[in-house]
Amino acid sequence: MSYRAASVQEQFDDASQQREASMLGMWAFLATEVLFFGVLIAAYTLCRVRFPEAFAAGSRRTDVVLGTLETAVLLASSCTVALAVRDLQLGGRRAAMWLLVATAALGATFLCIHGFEYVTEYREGLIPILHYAQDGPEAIPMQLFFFLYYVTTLFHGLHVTIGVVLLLVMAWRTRRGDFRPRYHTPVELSALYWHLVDIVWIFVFPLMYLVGRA
Amino acid sequence: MKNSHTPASGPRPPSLSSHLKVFIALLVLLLASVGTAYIPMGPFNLASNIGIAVAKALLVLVFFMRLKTDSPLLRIVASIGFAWVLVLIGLSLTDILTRGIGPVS
Amino acid sequence: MPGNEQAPNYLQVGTTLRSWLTTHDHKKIGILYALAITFFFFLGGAAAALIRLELATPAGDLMTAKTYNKMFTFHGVVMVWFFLIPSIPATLGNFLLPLMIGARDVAFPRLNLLSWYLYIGGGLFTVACLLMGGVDTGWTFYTPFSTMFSNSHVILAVVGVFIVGFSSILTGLNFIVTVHTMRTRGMTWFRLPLFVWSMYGVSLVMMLATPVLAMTLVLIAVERLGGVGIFDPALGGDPVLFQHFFWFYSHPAVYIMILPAMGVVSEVITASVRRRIFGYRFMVYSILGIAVVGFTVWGHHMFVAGQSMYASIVFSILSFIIAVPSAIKVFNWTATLYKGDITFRAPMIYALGFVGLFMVGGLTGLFLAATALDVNLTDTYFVVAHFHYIMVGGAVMAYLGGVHFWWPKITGRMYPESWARFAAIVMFFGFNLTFFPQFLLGAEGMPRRYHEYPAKYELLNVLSSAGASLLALAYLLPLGYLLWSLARGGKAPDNPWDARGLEWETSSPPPPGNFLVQPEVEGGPYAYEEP
Repeated sequence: MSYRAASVQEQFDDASQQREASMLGMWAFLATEVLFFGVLIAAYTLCRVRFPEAFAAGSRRTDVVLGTLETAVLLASSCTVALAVRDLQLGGRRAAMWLLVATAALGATFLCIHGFEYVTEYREGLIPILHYAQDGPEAIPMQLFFFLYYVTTLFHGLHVTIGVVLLLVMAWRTRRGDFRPRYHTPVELSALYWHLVDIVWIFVFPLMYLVGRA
Repeated sequence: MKNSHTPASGPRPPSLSSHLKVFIALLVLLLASVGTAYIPMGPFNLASNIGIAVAKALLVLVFFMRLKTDSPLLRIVASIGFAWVLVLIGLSLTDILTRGIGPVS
Repeated sequence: MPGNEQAPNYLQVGTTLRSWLTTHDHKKIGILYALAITFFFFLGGAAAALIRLELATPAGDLMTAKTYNKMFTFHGVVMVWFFLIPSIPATLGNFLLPLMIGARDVAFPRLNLLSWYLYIGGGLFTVACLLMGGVDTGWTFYTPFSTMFSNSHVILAVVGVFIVGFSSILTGLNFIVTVHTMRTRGMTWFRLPLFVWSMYGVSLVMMLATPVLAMTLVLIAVERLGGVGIFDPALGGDPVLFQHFFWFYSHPAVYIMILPAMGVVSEVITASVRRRIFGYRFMVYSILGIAVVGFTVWGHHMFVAGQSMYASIVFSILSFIIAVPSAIKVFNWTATLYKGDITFRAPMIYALGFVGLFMVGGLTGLFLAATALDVNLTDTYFVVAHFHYIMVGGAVMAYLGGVHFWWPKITGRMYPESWARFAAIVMFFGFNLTFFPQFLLGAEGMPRRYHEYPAKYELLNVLSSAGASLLALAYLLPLGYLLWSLARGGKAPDNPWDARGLEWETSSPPPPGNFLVQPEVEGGPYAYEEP
């Protein structure tokens, strides 16, 4: 099997066993990622139950317009990366490469917009540890909200950054011709990872931006 | 032949239009979630926020991540992480909700 | 394929240090782990020896209270994260899992090597923490002490544990994918040996629990560095929240330690009685049951921590439930032994020791799961004795039993049988002499984690310390004679115990790709009664 020598590692019998293992491994890894973020969501839930007003007050201080824009950008990037996998499977290598680049660009856009939010929040004194200058009845427990907001969004931002690098590497490897319709597992795995980053944000967005707006 | 697997390269590729439809649905849900957040509904604000987020996540999982057509095992693996987070939140809540600790004034 | 003398075994291929440190062979990685784990075992053991030495007299004459705090913390951190959790899975599991399912390697060999390096990296931080003065929070890092008050190197210790956590996540992930996708032809799920099932269960727990610990440790580090965090009562934060998150990992971690031990014992017992395991399917379901239900009982560590009474009742009931699958396992081992023709080789002595000690540990666990009793017994030596019966009496005995059982396969040499039996028996008595008095001390109300105590506790403490010296001797013996056997031990046949299982069908030690001809499986495991 000349095909085997190209892309099947020696511990596997054939390409389909290798793909099955890679996909299962990635999904299992994503389950651990869900738990990583799940702890933060759990901490958020357990603190919010005790300080509903402070969490609403904190949430109202976030920028809902930029937040919505960021969500839309990430949703779009999820779509482009799914299309990239589809194109690779159908043999459209060039289109796939550009779709991967576009996904990475959307990811970078997300990070930039969020950077603007951080700058504004710094000016307003909303960042615990660095610069927190609030007073009023909710100021102290509101710090819990912003603490969790920062840990969660920074941890998510770290994942986006890793994802952007990963997608650019995949775009480059696509251009180099590493992938074929019958073998493009690395792109599939990167896409799964990117979708998960998107899913995390889908939950972070309403919990952090949309509380107490009514 | 909807579910025919090409074993080495995954399930059959979905159509372009299906992906675009999912994307549009996601955007609509996003607007719905922002919109409903401004309508005073009491506890139902939280319910609609979470409900819409779950719907969006399911769309991504089922269509973009292809859980619909890929092997059933992956569906189980995908749900385990979420289920375990619910166990963590649920059982911790049994404590927090019944401990009688409120906001510190 | 027995007796193919031409093929080189895995120890003869790539003998340089460089080839060992870059190996992708699961067998060699298992041995790398074994070396590192043995080092940490004796390091943590040294701390334990100093603790027992201090407690031999009522006065605090050997070390100050501060040093004592650092000593038991170091003992706990090292023994839990650098010995017990990786012990059986990373050494025997790594070595045996692919062999038992007839695979050439694990699914992701490079990831496997990375796990070992992460383990070493985490270990370096922990050793650095000790050298720089240690940490005094106890292995549990309870807030707010760890975040606000402790003046010791909490961050270094937390980073070490954080890193080693990734090693355990990746090992778990690797094993799960391996069991799912790499089974050889005919190796269906219900033909898997129970050791493989226990590895599968333990991998699930590792993967689903460890991220929670890792993230919680990050929160601790941030709070300690920044002075702001969700565990800080001054902000309205909740220190008990930390305990919830911590025990969501650390209670299942107990099952990370004990499930593999149960797997080893099932293999050893069947081979020594030459019987099929009694109730194979129930054994499988109880492994999975322990793995899953183990996640819902963590609150029994928090009965006196300020948790609500309602939550305590819920966790208490759930904790009683998990005794059921554990009891099923003990019943089934006993039923396997019933009227059997038992060969008492060293691994079997360890296995029988495990069953007895695990039972004592498990039953005293029921005392602690009962809220009313726990209020009296918590944070006394009763708890210390209880979990040492599970972890040392259970997990360490099974680990050593497994090491002896598969020693011929791993090294190609026989260990000296009479020395091994002697060590196992000394260990059993030494262990009981060390820890049984601690049950009595706890029942009499001696609290844990103090370096001095009233004179009325002296007799039992002296007994315990005497037992500890016996135990230390018993742990040094295998180190000596197993090393000796590497050079002088008799050459091991492929299947010295005439045991069943794919690992015994290949040569001792196995060739690099495990099998010269890919094996096929035609029946269930433990087919001892068939010709």
